[in-house]
Amino acid sequence: MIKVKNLEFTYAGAGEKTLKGLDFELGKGEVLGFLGPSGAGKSTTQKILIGILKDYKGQVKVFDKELNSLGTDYYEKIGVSFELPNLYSKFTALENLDFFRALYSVSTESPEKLLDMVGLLESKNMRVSEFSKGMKMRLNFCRAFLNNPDLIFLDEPTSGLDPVNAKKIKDIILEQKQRGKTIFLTTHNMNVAEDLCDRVAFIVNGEIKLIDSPRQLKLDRGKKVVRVEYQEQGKMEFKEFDIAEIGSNQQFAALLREKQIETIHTQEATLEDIFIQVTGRSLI
Amino acid sequence: MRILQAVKYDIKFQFRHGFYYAYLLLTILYIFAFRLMPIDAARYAATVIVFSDPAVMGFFFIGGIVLLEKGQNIYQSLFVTPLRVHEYLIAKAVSLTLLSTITSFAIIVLSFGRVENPLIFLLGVVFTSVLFTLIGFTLAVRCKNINQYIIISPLYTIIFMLPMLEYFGLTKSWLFNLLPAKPSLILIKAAFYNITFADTAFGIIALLIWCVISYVWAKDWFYKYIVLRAGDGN
Repeated sequence: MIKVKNLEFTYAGAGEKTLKGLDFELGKGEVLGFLGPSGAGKSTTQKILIGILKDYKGQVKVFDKELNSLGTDYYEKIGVSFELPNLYSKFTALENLDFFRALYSVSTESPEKLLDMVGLLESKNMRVSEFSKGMKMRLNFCRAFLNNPDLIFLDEPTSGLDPVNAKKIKDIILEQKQRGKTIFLTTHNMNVAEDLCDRVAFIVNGEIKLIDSPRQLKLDRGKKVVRVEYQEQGKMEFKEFDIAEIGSNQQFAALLREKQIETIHTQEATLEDIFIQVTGRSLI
Repeated sequence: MRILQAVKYDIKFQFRHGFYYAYLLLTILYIFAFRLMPIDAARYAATVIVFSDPAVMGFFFIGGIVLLEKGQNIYQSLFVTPLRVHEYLIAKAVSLTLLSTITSFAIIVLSFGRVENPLIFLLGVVFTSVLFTLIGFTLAVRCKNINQYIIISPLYTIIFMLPMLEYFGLTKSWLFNLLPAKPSLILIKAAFYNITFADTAFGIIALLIWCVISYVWAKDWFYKYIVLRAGDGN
């Protein structure tokens, strides 16, 4: 769906390149997460991919065509949701969707259906100025699906949402993925990345330091041990055991048998740990 | 058609933000004032008022619209749809020019009973409105807020308005022919008087040239200062 080779970008007047030769691919039906701190180049990459910034160097192929050669038809096929809400505040939720819907020539989804999907159907006739931030975010999010796009760009999709609504949004993204939609997601939220992405790319200072599946990263870079926490004379103690051959580990079996066990966890690394380990930077 | 949809929602937007109510009140006040004045003075004043208010209104309204849309972060989402910059600009110019035209005709017809040369008057109002809406764009895209727009706009427009000095009989210069207020005033005056073919042709051609220049200018700056910056801050 997207093939990027040696992508470079320098803003007019800036001395340093913002993107320094990115290489990545995004297959159909895949969710790719771009992770990185502010200023790493996530937004710039997204702005190139959605056709706003045109003076890039390198190769960017979307739908098997060089991006610069795609006309306005491109916008009929993609959906974009930005991090900050961008809605007409004096229009109702429904009027906002109706307006944006009217700009497409392809067949569009029913606005009511989209509002229902994000739990806003009952508020369809409320003006956006009366919406809470979370409601605006959800309206903003569902607008990206108006034209039933095959390729969707989501920027911090759960930012500013309470856990219940964040879960709702994540479920929608997973459902879209199951329907074969391709999703490019930028975030600095590791949980979002872990729950949604088939692969994540760590981007720092305009370079991709690593791309892999979250699960593989956690397995590869974690300690291959099981940590058992247990009670011993009123105190919490722990022991770690090698995962290899744990089934025949007598000490492990004895511990489980004899002690009051509190927790048992494998010690795979968190994405956050791996990010810091690989890039030397924290995400915030 | 996309432009028609954009025009429809622009009108809705302007209506919701109370632009039309404010303007209706002003129009009624003008009509009352002109009806009370002696006819010659009223005609003299109405030419200037129609030019400097309803016809140029687009300049002030577009500042408000662009800065409201900027404040609501609209541009990010607008230009990742099939809507293109030229369609956006044209829709704005059309919606504001509709309001300009209706108001201008209402003022003249309801104050004086009729428009002498409706087609020439119409062209004068339409071109002036399109032109000043586009000029307004070039300022609005560079302003951060409405106060800045209000402070800078008199300085920005004064150069285009200089030929009004000639209309008031204060000074004369051939250079005024190069500025848009001159052809605008000539065509708007046609609401009351017959004007020569040469003046009509000059008015239409001069305003057309100005409209083309300002369209290219507005499109270029809108792209540079708005579209390219859409999505910043994330």
